[in-house]
Amino acid sequence: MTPIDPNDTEGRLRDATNAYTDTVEPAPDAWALLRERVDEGRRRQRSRTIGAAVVGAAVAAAVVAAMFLAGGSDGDLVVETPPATDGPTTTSPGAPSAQCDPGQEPRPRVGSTAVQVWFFCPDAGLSDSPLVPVWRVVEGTDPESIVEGALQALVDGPTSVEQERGFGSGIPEEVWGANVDATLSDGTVSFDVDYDLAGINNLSTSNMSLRWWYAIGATVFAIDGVEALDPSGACVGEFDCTMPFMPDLLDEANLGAQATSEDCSGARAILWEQVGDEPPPAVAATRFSIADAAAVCDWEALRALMADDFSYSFGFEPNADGAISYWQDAEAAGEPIMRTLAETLSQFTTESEGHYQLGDPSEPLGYRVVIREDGAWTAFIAGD
Amino acid sequence: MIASVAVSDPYESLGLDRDAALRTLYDSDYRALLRLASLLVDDRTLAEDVVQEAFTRLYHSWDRMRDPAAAPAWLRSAVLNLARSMLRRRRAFTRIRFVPAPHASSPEGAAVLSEDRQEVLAALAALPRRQREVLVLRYWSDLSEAEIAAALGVSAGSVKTHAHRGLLALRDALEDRR
Repeated sequence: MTPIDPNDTEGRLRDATNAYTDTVEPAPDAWALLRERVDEGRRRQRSRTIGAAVVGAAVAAAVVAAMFLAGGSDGDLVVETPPATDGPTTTSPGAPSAQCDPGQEPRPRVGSTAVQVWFFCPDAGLSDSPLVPVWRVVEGTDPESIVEGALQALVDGPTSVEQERGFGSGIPEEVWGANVDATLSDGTVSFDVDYDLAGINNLSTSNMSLRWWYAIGATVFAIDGVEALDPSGACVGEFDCTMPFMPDLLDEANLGAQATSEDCSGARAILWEQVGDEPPPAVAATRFSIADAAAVCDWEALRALMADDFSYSFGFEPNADGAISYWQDAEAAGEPIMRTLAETLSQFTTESEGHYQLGDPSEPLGYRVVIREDGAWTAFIAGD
Repeated sequence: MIASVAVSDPYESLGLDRDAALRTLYDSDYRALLRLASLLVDDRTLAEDVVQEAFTRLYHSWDRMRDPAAAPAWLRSAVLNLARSMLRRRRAFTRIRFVPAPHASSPEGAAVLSEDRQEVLAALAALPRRQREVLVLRYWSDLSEAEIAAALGVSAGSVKTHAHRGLLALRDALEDRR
């Protein structure tokens, strides 16, 4: 066997993974176990139609799957389908059909989050009720806001343009837009929805699905302030929320469509209220513009904000391609330079001779952003 | 490899009933999917559970699958998502250890899992989840960027970025071990 060049990382990876997986064989009774599992599922299956819609929130790995049921009587179980790849008639987030085009992922501004809302697309091709995601931007970056915004977007239904493209919702159109409030406390998310939504068959599935979101230990649903589900997910009182058959983790098979905005480290920036004197309006405006652009790695927007004498040295001489190229390389190499930039912008402001410096004053050689009093961005530097 | 079987002849028979299709897919894809799962989760039992669950779900939705030829890709996506979900529940994103299969402890098994290979696997296991998934699909499953993007539900550009970052991180980790 020819030795692999130690510098050939790809070759070493192929060799190691192949060698490892060559040792992996199915259990001797794998087929029997699978048959048993399949038969058990068939026994549990109930004869009812479930229309499902799933919401996947996108940034910071915050994902919530919420399922609403449409009801029906044709006796088939509608099971959501994870993204399929190479079937000519399939639809997935990565391979949209012409009919149900999910559109481009939006670039959320600082303080908002891109989420995906899944609606039916009858003509997408995989089955007669496949789910296809569309994008929404919801206010907030904290889990509670994301959950509430994503669920509200689901309840609001597809836009008129999306309806023209073939999208439909499992939620009856007459209750689209019903209000959803969410609170997240001690690992429990509580939803309070308008009474109109009480007619949706079946809220308990939403409750069940949301429990699988990693950050949530329990879900409580209330309708106009009255709890509709007890902590076990069972229906309470007058509400129509009987528990249907739902295979474990069914919803989680749909979470492959998490957003890709994690690609820009700026999206993960943790921002906080600035302490100290508020800078002049021109400086404040530039600060927010830089933060917006850093959150989505909008290189052209960053370039447009730079002064002619912009400085970007970090204690050593950067490459010759300039600041943008340098930052692009840093991001590609996994260095979260845009996150650093965004977080630096939310630190203290000091002023000297018409130049406002943002950064941690206890680290004079740390990262600093300098904005001139006329709003021109003159530096993002570290070191001396 | 999964990619090579996804378009092969055995699937021509998948237009049959779901029990026959289940057996056909089990024979053709189960082992490859188990091996894929074993690179994504931290123990063999869990990997087997992931693959069994994926097949079970496919079985129960079979009647609604208009294009049986898409079944292998469906299974692959289900394995990826289920592996991710189970890891999330176990909160073990970054603490995966590759445990050699039982017979790998034999002299022959030890030979195939040399120290160098174990170092590579350890470095792979330490990568962020998405980077690990992309590298496994790219260099073990031999999928194209477009196929990986579809399987993971991300853009092709994102696949490229994760692959690039993952390889760099892997290279750095292996250099650190020298």
